[in-house]
Amino acid sequence: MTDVAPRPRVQPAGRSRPSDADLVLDANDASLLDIVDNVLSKGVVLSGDLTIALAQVDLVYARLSLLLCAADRVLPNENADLVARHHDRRVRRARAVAGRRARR
Amino acid sequence: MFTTRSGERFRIIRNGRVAAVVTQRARPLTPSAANLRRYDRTMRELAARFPAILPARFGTTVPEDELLFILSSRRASLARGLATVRGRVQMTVRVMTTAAEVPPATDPFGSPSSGRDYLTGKARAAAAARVVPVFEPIRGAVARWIRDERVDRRGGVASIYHLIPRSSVENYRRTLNTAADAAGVRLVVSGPWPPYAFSAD
Repeated sequence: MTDVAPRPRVQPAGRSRPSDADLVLDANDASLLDIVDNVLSKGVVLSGDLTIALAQVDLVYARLSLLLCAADRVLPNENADLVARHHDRRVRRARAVAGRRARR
Repeated sequence: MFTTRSGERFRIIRNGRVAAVVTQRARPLTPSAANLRRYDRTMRELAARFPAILPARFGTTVPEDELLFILSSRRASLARGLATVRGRVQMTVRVMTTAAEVPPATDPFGSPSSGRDYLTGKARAAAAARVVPVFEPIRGAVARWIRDERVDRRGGVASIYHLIPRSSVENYRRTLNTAADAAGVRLVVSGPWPPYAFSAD
């Protein structure tokens, strides 16, 4: 896979005045057009409204940029199982709350 | 934790066989041309590093708790999506269309006599919207490599996205251009791209 998208192959127009086809298909910034199309209108959508993220800069939870990939073939030595640690924290917190209630 | 060539630091958040690759930001990215290009470069680097990725839309930010819930609740569909794109890349073809080439769409709301008729009408309209008559003979020439296809029509331009094996890019491109020349069709093909168009459910 190349790092840079290859320049689009353009058919010769054969006309002196650019047509609509020429303007669309021969755009000097065709690569940026493809990038805009790909990253702004495609891809997994995980929150329904980006303005939520923009309006609430939550400093307690660090906001995360995100993409997804398969984990089974990735970093076989990776042992940062955040889900398990998160679950353990919630269990400890629930126990602490239950303990405080019992002492009242 | 790992660092990309551009110096961005990412970490992996796993849930079974699905993981999220994330980075922390103090504020959301603005959609400037430079940021969009940088985002695409990052996706390409990650697509080269991992055998399957489903790129998130630019600017997607979620709290960590919500992310964990999403990974858990959508694990099956995400795993299916990853299996579909594994070892494959996106090629984008843009073709000019004219009003004469747009097949008449069935009005899905035209006096349906039942719920089934209504839904059938909508399905037919959706299928008609995916037809690009001028591209049909060209699609036939590259059909052997197409694992999946998406079509998007905006104004007079049809954007056709093909998911093909990573190893078939040059053969696909050569065959597509030869078929377009033979058919006298003007088109632009770009790629390979990460599978942006095949990432949404």
